[in-house]
Amino acid sequence: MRLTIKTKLIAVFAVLIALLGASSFMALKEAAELQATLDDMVEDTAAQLDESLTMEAAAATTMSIVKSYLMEPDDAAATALAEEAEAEILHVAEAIGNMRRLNLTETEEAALQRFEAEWEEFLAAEDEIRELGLAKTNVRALETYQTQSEPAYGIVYTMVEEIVANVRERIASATLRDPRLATLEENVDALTDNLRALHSYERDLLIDNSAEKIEISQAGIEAETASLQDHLAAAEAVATGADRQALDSLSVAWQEWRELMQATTELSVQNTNTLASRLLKDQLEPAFDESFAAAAAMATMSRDNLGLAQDDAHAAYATSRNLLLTLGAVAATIAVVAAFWLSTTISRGLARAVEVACEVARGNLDIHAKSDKRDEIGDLLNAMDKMVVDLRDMSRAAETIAKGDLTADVKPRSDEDQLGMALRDMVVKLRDVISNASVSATYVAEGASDMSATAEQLSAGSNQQASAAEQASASIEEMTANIRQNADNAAQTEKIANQSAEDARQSGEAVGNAVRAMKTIADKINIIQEIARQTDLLALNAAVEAARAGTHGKGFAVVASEVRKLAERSQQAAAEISSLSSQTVEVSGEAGRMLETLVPNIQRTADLVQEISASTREQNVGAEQINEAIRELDKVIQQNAAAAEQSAATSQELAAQSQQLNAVIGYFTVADAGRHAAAAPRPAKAAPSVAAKQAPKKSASKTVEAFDLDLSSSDVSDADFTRYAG
Amino acid sequence: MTETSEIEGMALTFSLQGETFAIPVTYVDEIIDPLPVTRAPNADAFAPGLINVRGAIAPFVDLRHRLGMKPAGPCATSRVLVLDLVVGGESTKVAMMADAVDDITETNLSDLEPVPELGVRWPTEYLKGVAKKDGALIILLDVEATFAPTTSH
Repeated sequence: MRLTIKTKLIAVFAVLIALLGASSFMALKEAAELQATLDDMVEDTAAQLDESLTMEAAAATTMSIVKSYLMEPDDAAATALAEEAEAEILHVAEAIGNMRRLNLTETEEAALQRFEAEWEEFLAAEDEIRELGLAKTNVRALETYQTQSEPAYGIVYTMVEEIVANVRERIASATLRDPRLATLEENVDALTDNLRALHSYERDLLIDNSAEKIEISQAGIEAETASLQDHLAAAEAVATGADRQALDSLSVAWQEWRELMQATTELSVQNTNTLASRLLKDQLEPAFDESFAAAAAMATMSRDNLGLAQDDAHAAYATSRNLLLTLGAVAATIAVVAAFWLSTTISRGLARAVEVACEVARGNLDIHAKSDKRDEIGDLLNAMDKMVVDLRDMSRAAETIAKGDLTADVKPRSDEDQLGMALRDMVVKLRDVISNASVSATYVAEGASDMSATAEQLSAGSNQQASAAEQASASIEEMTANIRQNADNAAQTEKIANQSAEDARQSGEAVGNAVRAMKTIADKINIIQEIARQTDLLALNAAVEAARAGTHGKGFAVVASEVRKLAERSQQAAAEISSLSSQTVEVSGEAGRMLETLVPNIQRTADLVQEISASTREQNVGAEQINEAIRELDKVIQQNAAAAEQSAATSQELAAQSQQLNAVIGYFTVADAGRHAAAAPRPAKAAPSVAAKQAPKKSASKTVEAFDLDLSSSDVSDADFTRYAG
Repeated sequence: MTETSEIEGMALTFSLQGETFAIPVTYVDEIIDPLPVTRAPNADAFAPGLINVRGAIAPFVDLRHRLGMKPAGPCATSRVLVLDLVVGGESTKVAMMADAVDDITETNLSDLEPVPELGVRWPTEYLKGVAKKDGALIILLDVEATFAPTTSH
């Protein structure tokens, strides 16, 4: 059976995981149990203990409060204490309710019921006691006695004493014994005794609370009251006058006291305090003791339960600890043994594999790695052995290629065998390259001989080029001379134009002066006109004077009229001059304006001529540069001719080298079919190359003969040229 | 008296709105250039202002108004005639504006022709008559009537 490392590892880990799972499960289970016990302890038993203690405490408090209110003389305080007791009782009821809600065992349930029964008894007794205790009749009886009955008794007793004293005085003073007075004295005296006895009984009732004593006192009071009534009636029967009145008032006071005494007596007879004390002692205290004991029993039971739960938890812990320790020990033993076994197996197999790999890396392919093991290590060693064998085959194929035999075919072992494929491709490519190289070497030899012929033709063409360049140089020199002449003429023209502009400007100024002079003349003419007018006026006035002078003024009149005529003529002449001068001003202004427009035109002409002159100078420089360039061209052409001769020699050398190359390539053995296929297209390729070489030769010779220098090109700028010294 | 008649025969001709008028030269004191006229407040339209002739104040008469012509400003040839009139037996100077002063000419009263009542533009009471000279008409003014401060109208 084949037992691989994988199977072994899986088995060991499965066993370990199973053991781990088992121990985890055990631990979880024990922990769950422990938690349940703890929950029970905390939720039920502890709560039960708590409630039992509460009941116990509340019951004790209730008991002490009951005792307190029985002792309390004040009614209000007693009622407050009773309410406190009620609150404590509610506490107990609450605790019982809480207890009922818990999970109780049967014994606990029984204990609780016992407590409840006892507590009911206690509550019943307490109810009774509270009623009696709160009534407090003995206290009230004492109060009534002290505040009301005692003073009333004092009044009655004083009255009776007075009557007795009065009657006895009268008896003593009377010489003759009055039987009526004696009877009265006797009855009143008895009445006094009755009163004292009644007072005594009343006090007895207040002091002694025992039932027999009360009965005796009650009977005594009844008997004494009856006797007192009899004595009072007898006294009244014999009394007269003042005695009668005294007895009446005594009777009233007696009735008053009697009522108060009866009230006191009744309260004393009720005797609640004593009853309450007795009940307390006889019923309440036993009931309390019982219920307290029941509560204590419950608490004890809860404590016992807590102890039991703790013991359970300890036991569970011990059991699970032992189980887990055992499982852990077993798992550790298995793990150690399995680890040792597996590691030994793997390391031994891997050491062998490493040895083989190192040898292969060193290049030693004569190593054997076969193994008869039946696990992964065995598989690895067998695979390595196969690899070594394949590599050995490959190296053998490479040796064959190195020997120059390219006919061998290399077959790759698979689609992923890159080395095999590379070897195969290498053989194919080498085969291809070698055959192509051989063909190319043949072509190179042919091409080299062609090239030497071409180089000779080239050198002939270069000589023709040199003569053409010389002609061009001569033409350019002639042109340069012409351009220089142009430049001189342009400079002269520029000078003349500048002179004309200056002259025109001066003429314009002269015309302006003439215009100003004409204007001055016009102003002066106006003065002459004014003088003529004034003269006319004066002459007119003179004529008037002359006319008024009559015959004597006739001669003067003639003179005046002549003067007027002269004045008119000078006026007329002045007007003519004025119109002429204004016309002159107009014409001169026109001439001035024309001259002003003329000046900038002339100036512009001068500027343009200057520009022409400048560009002509630049042309001159450019032409000289062209000349220089053609001379350099000539030099280059001669160099070209020399180079062409040299290249002819070189191409012959090249032909010899290509022959040698062919001999070298002959080392490789290539299949004959490949060589023929590569050599076949040779003539087809050679034909166009020869044609191409012939065509440029002819066109080159033509260009040299008809050299045409084009200088009219407009897109040649002056900025493209460099100015040299001279 | 021949002298007087001769003197009376001399007249100063001047033009006003294209018409030639004549005033006997005896009334003419002086001919001067136009001067600024000081307008008198609330004055009559016939004599609207005063004028200063060499220090003497003379009323300025608007002859155009009296002859019913349109009012016009002075022009280049305008002259002021200062006349010597006898008003209420006292010699007084009066100034008036003429568009142009033409000449001193000799007029013969016998040559005067009366102004026809109809077809004349001016009020006839100010005119003495019309004389012909070189084909043109000269209107001789009746100075006394023309420059009288109040008119019969």
